[in-house]
Amino acid sequence: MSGVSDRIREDLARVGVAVNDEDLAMIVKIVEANRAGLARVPADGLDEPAVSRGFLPPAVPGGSDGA
Amino acid sequence: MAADLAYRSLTELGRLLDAREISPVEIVTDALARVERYNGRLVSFVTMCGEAAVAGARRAERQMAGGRGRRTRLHGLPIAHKDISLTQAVRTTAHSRCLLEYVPDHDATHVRRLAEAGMIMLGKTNTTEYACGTMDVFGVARNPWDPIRYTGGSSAGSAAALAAGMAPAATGSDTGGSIRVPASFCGIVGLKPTYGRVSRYGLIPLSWSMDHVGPMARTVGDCALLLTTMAGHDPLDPTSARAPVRDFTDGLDAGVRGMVLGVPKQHFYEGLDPEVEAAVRAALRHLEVEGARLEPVDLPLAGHLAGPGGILIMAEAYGLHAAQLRERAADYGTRTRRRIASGACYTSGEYEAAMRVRGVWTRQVARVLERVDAIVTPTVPYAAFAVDVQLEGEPPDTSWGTRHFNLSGHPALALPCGFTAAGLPVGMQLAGRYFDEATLFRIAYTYERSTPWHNRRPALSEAAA
Repeated sequence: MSGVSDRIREDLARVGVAVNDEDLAMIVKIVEANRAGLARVPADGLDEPAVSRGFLPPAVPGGSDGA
Repeated sequence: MAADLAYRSLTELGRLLDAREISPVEIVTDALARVERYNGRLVSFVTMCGEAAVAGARRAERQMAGGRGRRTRLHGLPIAHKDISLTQAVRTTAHSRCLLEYVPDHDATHVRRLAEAGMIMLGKTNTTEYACGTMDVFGVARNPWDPIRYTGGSSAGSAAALAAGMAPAATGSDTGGSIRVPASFCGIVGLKPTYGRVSRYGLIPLSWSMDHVGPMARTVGDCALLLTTMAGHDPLDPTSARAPVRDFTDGLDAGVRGMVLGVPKQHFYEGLDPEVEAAVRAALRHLEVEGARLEPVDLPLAGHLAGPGGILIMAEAYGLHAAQLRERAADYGTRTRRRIASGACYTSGEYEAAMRVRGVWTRQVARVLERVDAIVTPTVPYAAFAVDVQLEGEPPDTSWGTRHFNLSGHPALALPCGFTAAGLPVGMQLAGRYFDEATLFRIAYTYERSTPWHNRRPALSEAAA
C-alpha cells in the first residue's frame, strides 16, 4: 500500500471511521484528485488580500445583511 | 374538467381556478393519477401524501367558496418537495437508510411559507443520498425524456416530476448544481438563488457555505412566482439575508434591449458536446436579436474550481456527518460513505487554501458583473447520459459549470435552450448579481416566450423499470 493510502487510513482511523480496502482505494482517489486540482490553481493573485477573505455571505445592496 | 391539466403552468392553473373552471380537487387528483401511472417507471416520488393532498384540496375549495376566491396566487395549487426538506408529520429520509424512520415535527421554512400561501404538498421527491451519493434505497430516478438516462442529481425527482407532468411546481436544493443540473437534463427551469435569499432552516445540510434552496418549475414565470413566496429573512437561519423581497413576476416582460450579457472566454465553452454548443450559441444569438449585447468576459479561475470546490463541500459534509458516520457507517450507501469520509482527510491548511481560491474567484465574478447584467453559459457540457454511467465507477463531473456560483454565492438560473437529435433537453445557465434574481428572470422569460423548448413534452411509458 502506498504512503498516501497509509496516511489516509490512519487519518480515518483517528476520527473513528473504519474503511475496507475498496473504500480506501476510492477515498484516496477522491482526495488525491481534489488535492491535485487545488495544486493546479494558478498562484497569481491568491495572496491578495493578505488576510484571507474566506467566505462571507453576500452583502445586501444598500441594506444590512441578515447575520 | 379542463383538458390537459398535467402540463399547465401554475399561472394558467391559477387563472382556471379564479375563473371557477376547475377546482383544486381536480388539479390534485389529476396530478396524483399521473403519479400513479408513471412513478413506477420514473421513481420521481419516494413518499406520497395522496389522502392529505386531496383533503388539502377540499379545504382550499371550501376556502375559495362563496365568492371569497384565492387568498394568494399559489392558493389551491400542488407542489412536490425534495425529500431533503423537513416536512411536518411526513417522513423525511434524504434517501438514506439512516433516516428511514424520521418523521419531523416541523416544516422547513420554505415548506411552511409555501403551505401558508395555500400550496398543497403532493409528496416527497427522490434525491441522491444526503444530496451527494446515489439512490440505493428507493431506486434511481429516471429521466422522462428517456428512462434509461439519468435525471441529474441531486434534485432528481423534482425535475423528473415536473418534466413528466406529475406536479406543476417543486422545490430543490443546490450545493454544486443540484437544482440546475437536473433542470438541464430534464428540460425544466430551476433557480439557485443568491446565498441567503431563501432560508435553509429545515434543509438537511450538506455544506453550510454552499447549500442553497430554490424553486423548480416548467416556466420562468412559475419559478419567479415561487421565489416570491420562498424568499425572505428568517431568524431561524443565521445565514438568511435581510434583503427586501419584491414580486419577482413584476417586469418579467420588460425585454433585454440594452442589456449586456457576458460570455466567458475560459472554461465554459471549452470541450462541449457539439449539440450543446450549437444550442447555447444559438440561444446567445437569439438574445442578441432580442436586443442584448454580448461581451466576452475573463474568468481566469473558472477551470480551476473542481478541486477547491470538492475539498470545501466534503470537508464541511464530513463535519456534519462525523458522529453518524462513526456510528452507522454501514447504513450509508457505498458512494455516499466514501465521499463524505473523504472530507475527514483534508488538512485545515487545504481547507484554508481552497477558501482563498474561492475568495479570488468570487471577486472575479463580481468584477465581471460590474460590467455585464448576467453571465451566460451552458449548464452542463452534455445532455443526459445513461443511468448505468452514473452508477458505475466515478460518474462524469456534472458540476462542471455550476459549482462556480455555489462558491461565489451569486444567483444562477437554468432553463431549456434546445434539444439534441436524440430528443434530449439542453440547458443554458444565467448567473447574475447578488440579490438580482429579477434580472435573470427577465432575461430567461424573454428567451422562453420567443422559443418553443418549454412546450415540448416527453413521450411517457407506464411500464415498470
